[in-house]
Amino acid sequence: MEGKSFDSFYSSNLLPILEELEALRLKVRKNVLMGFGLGLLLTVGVFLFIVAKAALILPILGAGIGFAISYKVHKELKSRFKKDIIANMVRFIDETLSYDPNGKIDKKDYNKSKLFTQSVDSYKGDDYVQGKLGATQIKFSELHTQYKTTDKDGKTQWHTIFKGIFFFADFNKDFNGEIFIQPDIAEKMFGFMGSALQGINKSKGDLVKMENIEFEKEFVVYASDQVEARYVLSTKLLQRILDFKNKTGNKIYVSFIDSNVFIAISLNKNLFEVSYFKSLLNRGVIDSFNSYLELCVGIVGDLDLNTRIWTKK
Amino acid sequence: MTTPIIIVGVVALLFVVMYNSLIGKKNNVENAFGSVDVMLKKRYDLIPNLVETVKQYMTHEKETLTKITELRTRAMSGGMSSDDKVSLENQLTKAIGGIMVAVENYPDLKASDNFDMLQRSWNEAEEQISAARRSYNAAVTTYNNGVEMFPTNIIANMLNYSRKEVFEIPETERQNISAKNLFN
Repeated sequence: MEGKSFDSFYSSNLLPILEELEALRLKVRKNVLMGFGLGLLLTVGVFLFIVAKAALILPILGAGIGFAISYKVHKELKSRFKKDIIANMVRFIDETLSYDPNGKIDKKDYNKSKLFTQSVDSYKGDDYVQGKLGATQIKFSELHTQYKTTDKDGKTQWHTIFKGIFFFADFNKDFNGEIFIQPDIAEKMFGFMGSALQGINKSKGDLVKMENIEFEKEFVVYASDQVEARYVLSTKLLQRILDFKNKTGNKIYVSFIDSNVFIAISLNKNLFEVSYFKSLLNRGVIDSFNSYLELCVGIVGDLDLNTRIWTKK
Repeated sequence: MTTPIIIVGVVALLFVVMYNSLIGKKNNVENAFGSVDVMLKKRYDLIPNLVETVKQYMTHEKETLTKITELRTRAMSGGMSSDDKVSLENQLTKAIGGIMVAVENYPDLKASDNFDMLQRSWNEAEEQISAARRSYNAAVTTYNNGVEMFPTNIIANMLNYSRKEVFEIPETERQNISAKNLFN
């Protein structure tokens, strides 16, 4: 998984396929652009005769037609990118991992995590990875959950509950209760008053104050049992979660339920997809996808889940 | 006429809230202290089993084993000052730690399932004790804040509440039991 060996893996295994796929991408893009240009020409023509606002729609329509013409190529490109590139990258990280481009974390697991209590109206996801690393079972996928509201005009609006990577692993200690770690918003904004308010909110259990000051600044912890929460969240694990948070640079939500750990990493982008605005031969894109894969698989090491010195084997 | 009544009412209400919160904090400390004892007891319960299991294998550690049993009896008899208790705890932890290291010299013992399970239970008990102590410290910190911060410190003074000390928690390094168990 080191930079050097990934480099050679990249040039020998990924690059030849990427070059093929890049040709496909350019083909689709060419059609889209041509359609757009055609529409633009038409607009100018129409504009010269009649001054109509609706004429602006034509370039977009043109681009749509261009895309429709190359839809088959687009589908092939998309599926081959996943099958030949992403799947290979997953296997490169660990041979025992399996990858399903259309799979996602089971809704049961999402609900079991109790991380997001808002009821879900739309549950979408893809790029599902699962496997067993050492003694630890892991699975993760991209996930986007939404709920809808209807305003007084009868118009439906969709609101995101969670978008990002949802990770599940078997934890190395047995416990009965529930523990939640959430980004600390109240305390950051209102200081000790925020902290007092957090104490009043009992929906996820009692507020648990941790001794790690840096950790307390970033997170708030709720649990059903004070002692058990600290049994699960050893001082070392607190530091490890904090380091992990700093590594991702994104908001993370963690819960420990039923001897499992659930981690939701908020992301504002769609990963592992072909972009028509960026060349496939751009190393940055592949490197960024690879870093997300490594980040997720790395959780096992980061949280030390393979240390099995407790009664749970 | 009504204003003074409202002021007195508000002050009385504030007093009750602060008074109750202080009592709550004090009770939390006692409760947390109790859970440390529960976890310690859990660890004491493991000792006879541990001694019994390793005795058959460990021929050179007879003395240490006798000492461990003795320390356990003393620890469980109670009626000690907290300083004595801490020192006894430390001796016990050290002696058991010695046994865990000595196990390296007895491959048969190390490989036995019985011992493997005991070692896991032991680690668990230690981790739980540490968790209980950390909970106690957190409760004490909240209590101390109540005792020292304005305005609850006024009530704390009236009740003769004073600061409590926190536990010193030793950091112990632990390793995986054996690589074999990793890939079961």
